[in-house]
Amino acid sequence: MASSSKTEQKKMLILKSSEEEEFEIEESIAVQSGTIKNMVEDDFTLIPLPNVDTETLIKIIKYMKKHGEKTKSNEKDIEEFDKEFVKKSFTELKELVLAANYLHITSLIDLLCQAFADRIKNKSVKAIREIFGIPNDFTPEEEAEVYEQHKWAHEEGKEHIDHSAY
Amino acid sequence: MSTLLRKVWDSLSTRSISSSSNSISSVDQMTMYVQTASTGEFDRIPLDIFIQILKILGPKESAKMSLVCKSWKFIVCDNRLWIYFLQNQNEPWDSTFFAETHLRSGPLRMLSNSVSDLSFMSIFGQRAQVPGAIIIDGGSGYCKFGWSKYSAPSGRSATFFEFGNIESPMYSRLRHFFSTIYTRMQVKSSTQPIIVSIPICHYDDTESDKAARAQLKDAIHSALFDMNVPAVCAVNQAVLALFAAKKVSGIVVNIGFHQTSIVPILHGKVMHQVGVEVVGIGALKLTGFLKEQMQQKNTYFGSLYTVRALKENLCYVALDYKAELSKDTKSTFQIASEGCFTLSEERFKTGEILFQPCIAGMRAMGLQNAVALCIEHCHDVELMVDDSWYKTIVLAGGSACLPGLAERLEKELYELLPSCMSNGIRVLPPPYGVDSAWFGAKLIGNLSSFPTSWCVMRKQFRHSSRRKFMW
Repeated sequence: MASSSKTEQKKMLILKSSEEEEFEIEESIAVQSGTIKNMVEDDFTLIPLPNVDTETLIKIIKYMKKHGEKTKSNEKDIEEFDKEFVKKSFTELKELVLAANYLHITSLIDLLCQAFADRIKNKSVKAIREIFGIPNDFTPEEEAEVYEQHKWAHEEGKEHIDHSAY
Repeated sequence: MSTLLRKVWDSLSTRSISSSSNSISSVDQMTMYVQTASTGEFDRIPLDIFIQILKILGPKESAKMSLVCKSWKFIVCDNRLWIYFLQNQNEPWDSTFFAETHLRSGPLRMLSNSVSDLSFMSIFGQRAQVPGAIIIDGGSGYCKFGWSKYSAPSGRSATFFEFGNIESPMYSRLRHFFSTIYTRMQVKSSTQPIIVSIPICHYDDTESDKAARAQLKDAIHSALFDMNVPAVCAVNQAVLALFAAKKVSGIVVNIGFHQTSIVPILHGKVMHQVGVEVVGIGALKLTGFLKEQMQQKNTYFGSLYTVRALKENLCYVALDYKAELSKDTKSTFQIASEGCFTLSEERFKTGEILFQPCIAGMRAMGLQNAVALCIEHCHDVELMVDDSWYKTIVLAGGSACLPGLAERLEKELYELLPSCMSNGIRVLPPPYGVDSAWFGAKLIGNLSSFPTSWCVMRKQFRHSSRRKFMW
C-alpha cells in the first residue's frame, strides 16, 4: 500500500560546523536549541554554526536526539545517558557549555553547570587552581586577608560567638 | 586592573539586568575583560554560566572560590549572587533588605544605604554568624516570647493576669517577670542576648515623664544584667511595630490592652515633643462592649475568653456604619465545648466604638480624631522639609487586626483633614498580625551587625555610673 510519503516526511535541517562539515537533523529535534528555533522561524534550512566545532557539534546532536525522544517511560534511560554524557574532560565540558550557551539549549546548560559544580565541590582551593590551570596571583598577605574576611565559610558548624567576650 | 573591571562590570550589569535578550552580547564583552585577567581554563566561559555554577555550589563553597585568584574573587563578590543566596533563606527577603539598608548602623543612625554601598557577601557571612537572641515583647495585656531564629513567637502569657503592671519601674516585678519567662522557655538567661520591647507609657514631653521613661529603661536593664544576660537591646514597642512594617518613620496606632496610643516616630525615635496621643479604649473595652451586647440579647457564654474568641473571629469594622446597619450581617461561629454563637450587628458595632465611643456610653475621643490631631501636630512642628514622614500610618496590636479597620481609618482621615495634610496618607494594617512588635525585634535580632550595633553589653552597663536610682 503506497501511502503518501509527504505526511510521513519530517522536515530536515542541515547544521554546519565551524569546520564546514554538515549534519542532517530533524527540525522537531533541532528546535530544542533556542538559537536554531529563531533561525527556522526566519525560514533558514541550512544553519551555519561558526562558533561550534565538529567534535562538539556531534556531541550536541547526540544530546538533542536523545532528549528529543523524551517520553514518560524512558526517563530513567535519559538520566543514565546524562550521567555518562558528562563523563568528559574539563576541556570538552568547557567547549560543550560554550556551544550550549550559544545555542540556547537550557537543559544542557543546566546539566553541564551541575557537572562543573559537582567537580568543584569539596575540593581544596589548591586543587581547583591545579585543575583549571589558574595561577595564584595573591600575595600571602592578601590571601590571608581574604581568608579572614570569609572565615565563616571555612569553618564547619560554627554559629555561636564566644560569650566570654562579653 | 580591578578598578577597571569594576567600572566595566557596573555599567554592564545595569544593562544586562534590564534586557535579557541583550545579555549575550554584554556577557561576551564581559568575558573578554575577564579573560585578560586570566581565569585559567575558565577563560571564555560566559559570566552567566559561572554565576549559575556558583549558585549551584551554594554560599559556603562560593565564598571559598574567592581564594582561587583575583578575578575569581571579583566575580564571587558580586552582590547579585549574594542577594540570591539571601533570598533563598527562610527570612522574607524584603524585610531582610529593609533591615540591612536601614537598621544596620544601630538605633542612632537610621540612614538608608544604597545597594552599591553594601557588600552583600559580607552581610551574608555576618548574618550566618549572628547568635540567636531571646525576644520578649511584653505589653500590659499579653506578652509574646520566643527565639529570633524561629519564624514566630513560641509562647504567650497573659501579663495582666500573672504579672500585674509591668509598666511601672519596679525592679522586683520586672525581675520576677523576666525570670518566669526564662523558666517557661527553659533556657538560661546567661547564654544569649535579649531583645525586649519597652511598653508605651509616660509619653509626655514633661521632665517627670522623661525621668519615668529613663527609670523604666534602667530598671529593665538592671533586672536583666543582674540575671547575667550578656547583652540587652531595649526598644520601644511602637518603634518595633514600625520596623515590622519596613519603615523607620511614620505614625504607629497601637491598640493595646487598656488604651490606644498614637505615636509619631521619625528615624526610629519617638517624637515626644510632637506629642503622643492616647485614647482610653483598648482590647479590654472592645471585649467588654461585645459582652454587654450579648448579655442584652440574653446570649449565654462561658467566660470573657469566649467573648474574646468571638470578637477575634466574627467582628469587623464597617466602612460605612449607617449603611451596614441596614444590611443582613448575621454570621455564626462555633467554639469547641461551648457551641455555636450567632452575631449580627454586634459584629461591626463592637469595632465601631473606636470611632464613635458614645455608642458604648464613653466620653473618649474617637480614634480618627486622635490620629488627625497627631497629624496636625506633626504638620505644625515642621520637623523635616519633606513632610511625608508622618503620612504612613501603621496599625499595631491584636485588636488592630479587625478586618476593615485600616480602610475605615483612612477614609475618616481623608474626610477630617484638609487636603494639604491628607494628601498621600496611607493606613497600613498590622504587619504580621498580632505579633508586629515581636517581628520587628526579630528583624533586629537577625541583622548582620547584631548584637554590637543595637545592644548594651553587660560590661558597658556595669562600668557606667547610671545605677543611682532608688527603688
